[in-house]
Amino acid sequence: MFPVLSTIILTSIVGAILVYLIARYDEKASKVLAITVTTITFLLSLYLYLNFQPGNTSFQFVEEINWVKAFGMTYTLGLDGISLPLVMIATFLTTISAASSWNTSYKTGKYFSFLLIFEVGIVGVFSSLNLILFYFFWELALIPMFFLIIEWGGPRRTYAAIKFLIYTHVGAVTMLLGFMALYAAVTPHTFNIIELANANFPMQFQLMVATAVFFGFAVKIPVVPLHTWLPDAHVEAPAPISLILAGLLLKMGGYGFIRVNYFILPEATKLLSPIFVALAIFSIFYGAIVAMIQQDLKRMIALTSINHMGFVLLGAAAGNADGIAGAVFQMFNHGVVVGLLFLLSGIIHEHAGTRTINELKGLGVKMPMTATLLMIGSFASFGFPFLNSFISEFTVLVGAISAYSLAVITVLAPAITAGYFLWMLNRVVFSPSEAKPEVTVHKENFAELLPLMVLVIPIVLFGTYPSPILNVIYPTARQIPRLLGGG
Amino acid sequence: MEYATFPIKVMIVFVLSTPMLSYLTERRFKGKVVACWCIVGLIISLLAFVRLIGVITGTTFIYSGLLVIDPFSIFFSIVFTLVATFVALASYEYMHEDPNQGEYYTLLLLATLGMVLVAFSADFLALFVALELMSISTYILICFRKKDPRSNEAAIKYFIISALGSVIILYAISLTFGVVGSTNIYAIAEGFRAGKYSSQPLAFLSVVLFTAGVGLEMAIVPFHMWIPDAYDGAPTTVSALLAGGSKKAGFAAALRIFLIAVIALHSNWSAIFTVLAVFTMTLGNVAALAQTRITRMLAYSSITQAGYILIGLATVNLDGVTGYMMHVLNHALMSSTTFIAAATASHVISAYTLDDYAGLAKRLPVTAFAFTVAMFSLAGIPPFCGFSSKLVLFTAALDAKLGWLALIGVLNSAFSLGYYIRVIKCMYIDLPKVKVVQKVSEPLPFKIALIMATFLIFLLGIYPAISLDFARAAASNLKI
Repeated sequence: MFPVLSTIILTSIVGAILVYLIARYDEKASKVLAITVTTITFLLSLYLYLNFQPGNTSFQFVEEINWVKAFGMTYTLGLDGISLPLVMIATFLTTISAASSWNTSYKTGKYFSFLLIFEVGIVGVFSSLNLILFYFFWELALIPMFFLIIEWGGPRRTYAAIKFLIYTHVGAVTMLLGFMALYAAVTPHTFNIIELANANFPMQFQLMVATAVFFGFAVKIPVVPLHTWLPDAHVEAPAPISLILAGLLLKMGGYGFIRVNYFILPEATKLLSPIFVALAIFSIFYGAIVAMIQQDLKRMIALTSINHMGFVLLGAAAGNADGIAGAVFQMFNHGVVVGLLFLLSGIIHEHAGTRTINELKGLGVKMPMTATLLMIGSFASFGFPFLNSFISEFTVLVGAISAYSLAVITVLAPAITAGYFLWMLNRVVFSPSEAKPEVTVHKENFAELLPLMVLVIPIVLFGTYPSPILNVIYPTARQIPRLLGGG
Repeated sequence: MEYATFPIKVMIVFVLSTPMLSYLTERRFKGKVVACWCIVGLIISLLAFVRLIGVITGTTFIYSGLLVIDPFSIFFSIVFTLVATFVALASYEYMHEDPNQGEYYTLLLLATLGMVLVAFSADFLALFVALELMSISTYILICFRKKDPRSNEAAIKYFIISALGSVIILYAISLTFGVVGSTNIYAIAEGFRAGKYSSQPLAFLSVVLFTAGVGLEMAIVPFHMWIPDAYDGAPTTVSALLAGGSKKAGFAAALRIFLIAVIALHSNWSAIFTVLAVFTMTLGNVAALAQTRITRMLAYSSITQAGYILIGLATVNLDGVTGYMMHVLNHALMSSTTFIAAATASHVISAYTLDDYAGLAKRLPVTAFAFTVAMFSLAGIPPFCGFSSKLVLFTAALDAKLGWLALIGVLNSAFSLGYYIRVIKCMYIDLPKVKVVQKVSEPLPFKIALIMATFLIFLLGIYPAISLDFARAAASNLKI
C-alpha cells in the first residue's frame, strides 16, 4: 500500500530543506512553499482519515522498515483511533501556523524550516510504533521549538527557551530511561510498542517504569508541579509558535501517557491512577485560578492550557472508554481553541500595542471581527454548549465521575473558567472605549484574520456534530478498559 | 594474515619519509608538501583499515605473539587514523605559519602509529612501547608553540602525569610477570583462568596499578587533573588529537587488559568501575558548567564522556562492551569536531572564551553549525551519534541490573545540555561584542574536516548499525 505516513514525514523534511534554500533568493516564494507543503501534509492526513476503518481496532497504515535490527530499532509507523485525530490536528495546526506567520520577516527561511522540522517530529511522535523512533521524533520536535522560541520570541526569550529546553529534556531522558528498562526486561529484546504491549511485566517493575515515563509525559502535559516552563515559553514565543506549542507540543504528553502507560503498563497505571486523578484535578483548579488573576492576555491563555490539559489527564487517568475518548477529543479540541486564542492575542498585541487586559478597552467597536473571534474562542474555551470543548469536557467528566465519584468537584472548574473569560471579555470587548490616549488601535485586516476564521470551522462543526471524530476514537478507546482487565 | 599489517607498514613508511621530504623541499612549499604527504599517508592507512572490516575475524597472533590481529584492533585503528586525518586536515591551516611543520607532521604520524600499535598489542611489552611511542610524541606536540608559556605548562603537566602513569604500568607489568611468568596478555589470562596462581593479592595489586596507570591516560576521576590544563594549553588541533586519539588509546588498552586478564581472575570489578564512572561523569559535568574558556569546557566535557564509556566496563556484558567501543568511536568523532571547531574560531577570529563566541554563527557559519551538531551529539540528542552509543551503554547497564547507574547516566546527560546550550545560544543568538564585524571566510581545510566529521556524526546517528554491528563483532570476539 501507498505509505502515506512516511510521505507526510518525507514531504515535510524535503520541504524544510527547500524552504531554507529558496529563502536565500526569494523570501516570499519560500513562504508560499512552506504553506503549500503544510497544506499537502494536511490533505494527506485527510486522505488517512477517509481511508481509516473505524471498526478495525488494530493499527492501520502500518509501515515497517528494518533499521538497526541488532538493537530492536525498527522504523515502524501506524495509526489507530487515538493517534489519527492527533495526526490530523497536527498537520492542520501546522498549516494554520505557517499561514499566520505570513508577516515574519526575520530569518524567514530558518523560521519556516524549523516549523516544518517540528511537523516531522510531531507527526512522527503520534504515529511511531517503536519506542526509540518515538524518542527520535520526540527530540526532533523539541530542538526546533527551542530555536523558534529563542530566535523569534519576546523580550525574555532566552530565559524562557532555556527553561523550556531543560525541563522537557530532563523529562525526555527520564522517559527514555523507562523505555530502555522495558527493552532490557523483555525477551527477545525489542522496542516495538505492539510487542511490548503483549509482554507481561512484574508489578514492581511496572510501577518503576510507569513513574519514570509518566514524569516525562507530565512535564509535557504539563501537570502542576512541573508546569512552570509553560507560561514563560508560551508568552515569549511568537503567536503562531505559541499556537503549535500549546496546540501540539502539549499533546505529545497526553498521547504518550495513553500510548505507553496504558498500552504497555496497564496494571501499574491502574494502580497509580488515583494519584494521576488527584494531580489532574489539582492542575485543573490551579490552572483556572491562576489564569483568573492574570493581567496579560497571552499569559492568561497560556495558563488556561494547564486547566484544559488537566482534563486530558483526568479523562486518561479514569481509564474507561468515555474518559479516554474524551481525553483524546479534548486534545483535539484544545488544539484548535487555544490556537485561535493565541493567534488573537498576537493580533491584538500587534494592533493595539498592548496585551494588558485592563488597558484594552472597547475592542468590540474598534476591531469588531477580532472581538467576535475572541468571543467565540473564549466561549469555546470555557465549554459553552454547541462549541467543541463542551462535548469533550463533558465526556471526560462522565468518564471520570463514573470511575471516581470524587471527581465530581471538577464540574466547578468550567464555572471558574467561564467566570474569568467573561470578566476578560467584559473588560476587553464590551467596556466603553475610553482607552488611554497612548493605546491606539490600528485597523484590522481581513487577510490576517483568515487563518483564524478557518479555525472557527472545527470549533463549531465538532461542537454540533462530533461523531466524525468520536466514531474514530471510541473503538480504540474501548480497548483500554479491556487491557486493564475490566469490562 | 600478513596483509592485515599493511596499513601499519604504510604508516611506518610515511613516518620515515616525512622528515626526509621536509628536508628536501624548498622552504616556501615545505609546510604544504609535508602536510599533504601526511594527509595522504593517513588516508591510505585509514582506507586500508576500513577495507579490513569484515575480512578480519577471529584472533591471530603475529610477530611471535607481540601483536594480535582481531576486529577489536581494526576497530580502534580506524578510530585513531580517522581522528588523525581530521587533525592533519585542520593542521594544514592551523599550523601553516609555523616554521617547524616537518617535525609537527612527523610527530603526528608517530603518535598515531603509537595509538594504532596500542590497539594491536597482545603483549605487555609491546603495549608499553606503543604507549610510550604515543605519549613521547604527544609531549612534544603539546609544547609545539615553544614560546607560549601555556603550551609549555601543559606539556610539563602532561609529561609528569604521563611518566608517572608509565612507571605505574611498568611496575604492574613486572608484578604480573612475577606472578605468572609471562608478559603476554593472553597467556596471563590463560594462567589466571587455570587458577594455578595462588598469589591472588599480588595479582590484585597489579590490577589496581593497571587501573591507575591506564586511568591517567583515560583521564578518569581521580586521575583527571592534568586534562583541562593540557587541552587548554596545547595547540588546539593537538588537543583534538589528545581527546580523540591518545585518550582513546588508553581506553583501548584498558579494554584489552581488563577484559582479557581481569575477568579471568574471577573477581568482581564491576563495583569499582561503577563508582569511577559515577564520579567521572558527575565531576566532569559540574566542573564544565563553571568554565568560560571553550577549550577548558570541552576538556571537562571529555572527562564526562569518559565516565559514560566506563559504564561499559562496569556492566561486563556484551552490550556494555559494544557500547563502550561505539562511544569511543563516537566520542572521538565528536570531540575532534568540537576541538577543530574551537581551533577554527581561535585561528580565524581569535575567539577563546564564551564572550568571544558571541555571534560566531554570523561570522563562521560552518564552524558554528558543526560545533552545534557535535554538542547536541555530546548531549545525547538524536539523531546524532552520541545518542546511539549512549543508548547502547545505558541499556546495557539496565540489563546488568545497574538501573541506578543508568539513571545517573541519563541525568548527567540531560544536565550536560545545560552548558552546551550556553555555547549554542552564544553563537546563534547573542550579538558580537566587537562593534566592527569584518567579513571573514573559513579556510577550506577546516571546512572539509568539519563537514566530513559532521556528516559522520549524523550518519552514525541515523544509521548506527554501521558501528553497532562492527563493535558487537569485535566485542564478541573478545569472548567476554
